[in-house]
Amino acid sequence: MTKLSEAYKPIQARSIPKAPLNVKFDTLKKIMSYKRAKYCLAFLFLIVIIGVFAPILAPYNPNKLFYDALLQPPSKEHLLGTDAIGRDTLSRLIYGVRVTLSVSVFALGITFVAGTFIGLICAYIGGVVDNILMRIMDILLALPSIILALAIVAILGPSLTNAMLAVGIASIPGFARLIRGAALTIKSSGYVEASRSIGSSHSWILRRQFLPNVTGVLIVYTTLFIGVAILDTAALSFIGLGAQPPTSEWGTMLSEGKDYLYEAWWLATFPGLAITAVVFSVNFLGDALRDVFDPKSKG
Amino acid sequence: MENVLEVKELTTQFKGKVGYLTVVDKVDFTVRKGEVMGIVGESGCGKSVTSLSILQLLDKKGKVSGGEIRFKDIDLLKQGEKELRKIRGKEISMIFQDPMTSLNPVLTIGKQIGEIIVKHEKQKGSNVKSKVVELLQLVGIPRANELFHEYPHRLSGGMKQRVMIAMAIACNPSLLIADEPTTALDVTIQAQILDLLRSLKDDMDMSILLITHDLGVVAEICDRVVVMYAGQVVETTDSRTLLRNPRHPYTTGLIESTPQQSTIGKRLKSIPGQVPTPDEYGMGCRFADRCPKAMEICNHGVPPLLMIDENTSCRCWLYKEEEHGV
Amino acid sequence: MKQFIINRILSSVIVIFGISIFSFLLIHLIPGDPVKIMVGINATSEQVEKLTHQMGLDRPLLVQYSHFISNLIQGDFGTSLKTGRPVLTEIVERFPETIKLASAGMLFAIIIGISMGVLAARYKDSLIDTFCMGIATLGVSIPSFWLGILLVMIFSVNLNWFPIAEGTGIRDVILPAVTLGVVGSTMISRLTRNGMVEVLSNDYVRTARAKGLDERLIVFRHAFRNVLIPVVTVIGLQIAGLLGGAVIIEQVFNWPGIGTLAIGAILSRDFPLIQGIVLFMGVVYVTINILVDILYSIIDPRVELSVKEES
Repeated sequence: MTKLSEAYKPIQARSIPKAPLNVKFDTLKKIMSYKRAKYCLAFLFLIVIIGVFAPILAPYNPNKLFYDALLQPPSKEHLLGTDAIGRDTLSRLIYGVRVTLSVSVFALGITFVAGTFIGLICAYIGGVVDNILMRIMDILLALPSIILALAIVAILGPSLTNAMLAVGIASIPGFARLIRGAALTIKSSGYVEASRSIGSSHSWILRRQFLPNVTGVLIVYTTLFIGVAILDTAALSFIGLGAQPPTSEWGTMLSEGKDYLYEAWWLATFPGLAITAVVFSVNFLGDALRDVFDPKSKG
Repeated sequence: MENVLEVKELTTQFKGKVGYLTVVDKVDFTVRKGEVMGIVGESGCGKSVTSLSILQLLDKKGKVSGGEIRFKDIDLLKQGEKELRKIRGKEISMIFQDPMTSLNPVLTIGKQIGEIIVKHEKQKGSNVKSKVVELLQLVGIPRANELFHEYPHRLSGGMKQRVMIAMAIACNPSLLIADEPTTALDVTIQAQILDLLRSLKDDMDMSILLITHDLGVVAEICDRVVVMYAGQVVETTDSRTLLRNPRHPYTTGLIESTPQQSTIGKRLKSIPGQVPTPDEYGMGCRFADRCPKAMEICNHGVPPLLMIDENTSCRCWLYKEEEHGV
Repeated sequence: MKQFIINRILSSVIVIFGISIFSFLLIHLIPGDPVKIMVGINATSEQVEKLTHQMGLDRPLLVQYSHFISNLIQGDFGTSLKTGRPVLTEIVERFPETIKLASAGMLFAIIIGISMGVLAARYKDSLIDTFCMGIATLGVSIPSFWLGILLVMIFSVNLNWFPIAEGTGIRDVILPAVTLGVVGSTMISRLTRNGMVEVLSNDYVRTARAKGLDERLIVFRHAFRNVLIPVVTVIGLQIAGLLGGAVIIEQVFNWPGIGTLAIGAILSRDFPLIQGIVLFMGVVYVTINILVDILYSIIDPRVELSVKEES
């Protein structure tokens, strides 16, 4: 849960590209030239494929109960073992990918859209609007993000959708502040002033100067945020406030596995490994992207 | 006269993108007991690196790759880190260009001067304090007792440089290396600091190696001077001769681009171009591109450093010819 | 200095005021009738009405809020629906356990983070550096609750060094604290490393070298004190993060702190308790931030100066 602040950490005027970036082919090529970024991207692509083709790839239906195989250790029939009511761990893990993917998309969507919107409005309009919105954000930021997420789940009730909503909403304030900061720095930088001085219109500035320049920051932090969102939703599910049984969600699986530490190590091992691997590659990718968009920030 | 420091063929290299770049190239000079030796040149010609090489304070990318630095009877380049630590601050001490950044912002002045006494003289407690206060008074800092407990940011630039000097002379070193000690200071303060250095030198019987780009400072305080250009020594002589009768065209250029009484009302001359970086050194004389007296030969070989008379050497083909003519 | 602290406290009061509005509104943001959710589906309409009245939900919002505030000022956070005990009592009973866990975790985070950071900086670009920073990235990526489970599997189940116990003694706090510490240390170690690398290239470090000081003295007295300033700030931010992280970790280790209390309250839809916890944690967080700022101005003599110049 502390990772949110980590994701937002080096914003102070660091990760802002110096001049409009050609965020297209060149950038992609540059990203691919980082070896570790390439591997991370490949791995994440694989994860997406697994999620999409889960029904084909999974050996069994994730909810099928093998009554004759309760708490079976990994074997030929069940590569990653079975749980206390005889479900195949591997199949559940594979279906869990789908949940993780939708978490990334939904939570990120909420944060991204609302956060960017609020942040850009604050930076561009300024004045009273900026002041009021930012004070509200400050107040929400005064709560640890998990407490805020818990409060939101408390309002909406425990469920996977609500957990995703909560994680998404809880990250809006930080994200909005980040976008605002980045946008403000760019706004006051030379080339926007220059284009204003030659009489460019507001919408032109917004489209041609503003967005391309915030894009770098956006890409880096949304990447890092995906990691946070996956972790936080899994955490909410783990404590019983997110995905409800029998959903095959990694956090829920861990919380079930936690009760069988003596009998079945595999139950509490593989889902955790899955979360760590995905989040690790997302974070690694995020770090690499930061190097691409802001070579200065490294070391 | 006895030599305190003898630098022979000092070569210092820095790790570049491709291999090592030679920043200081076979530099020779000596510092005699009780004198002020100056090293002059534009920025980027290796003066500071030379001075840092002596105490081996270069950062990780740089290393002394050849030569000999003889201090009294020992070769500094042959000393281990442990032995060097006993020499740094005690036998040879150093002050730097920017007193604003050279003092640690989170330690009190008393602590920063005191620790050198603790380290080298094994003093403790109130002894250290009284010594520090004494030093502060010696370098002309008023209210020394109060300042003992203050942090550097409370002081002006000149005062900070005085603190640096107090630190440097705390253990009566035989040699003080001052790397552009007045560059960052106001003109009036510059003169005060130079006066202070001169009187301390006389009182404490130490030698000073002064790095500067300012011929005014040379005229003010130096006994002898080494002129450096692009990592090499181009002229060595006493400062009086240097200013009145410069041999090397580069020295001439430096003098002509310094404002003086005689230049009032006239346009100041300047040396065209700029100092080449170590990766741009060619085969020939490194000054040839900017030299008003450049000849064909200058592009084909680096001239040797030639003894012209007893205390003057110069690295220029002009004098090579002269010698041949003789 | 005084002015600085007063300003800090004033702005915090505003934030706390905002948090009180937020926690007050919690109950009103619930889709549908909160009272019906609280009493359950089988309740009679009289029961609903009674509770609605008892909680004052039938009065105008502003009146409700002023009641809410005046009760708060008198230390009345309401009554838990589940236990019927005052909310504040419930919280105050559990809070020390969370503090115990979080501070032990902080201790580990600081020890692990700073030593790894200093080590990585001293041996910059070496294998040690890569290793330490790799651990740091792993620490951000690993779910804290899984790390906790792993530690239990290794040290409790297999090695039996720290038996799974019910108490909250020193032996029991070690595993959860290490879990929290590893996760909390990542930012500290990264920051310490980068800070050290930067500070070690400063002029005053060269001055210290020129004085002939030992490398250890240079690293710790001259460089580390300067790195401490950003590190302390991050540690301050981390305390809040750790309190949040503790909420999850408590669940792994059955730790009787605020986290388990909050989760229980949410699952049983005990809204007054939830409100109380949100408000309480907010106040704690804000208070910690003030303390960190004050500590900051003590460590860095320049902060005091800049404040003086402003005023």
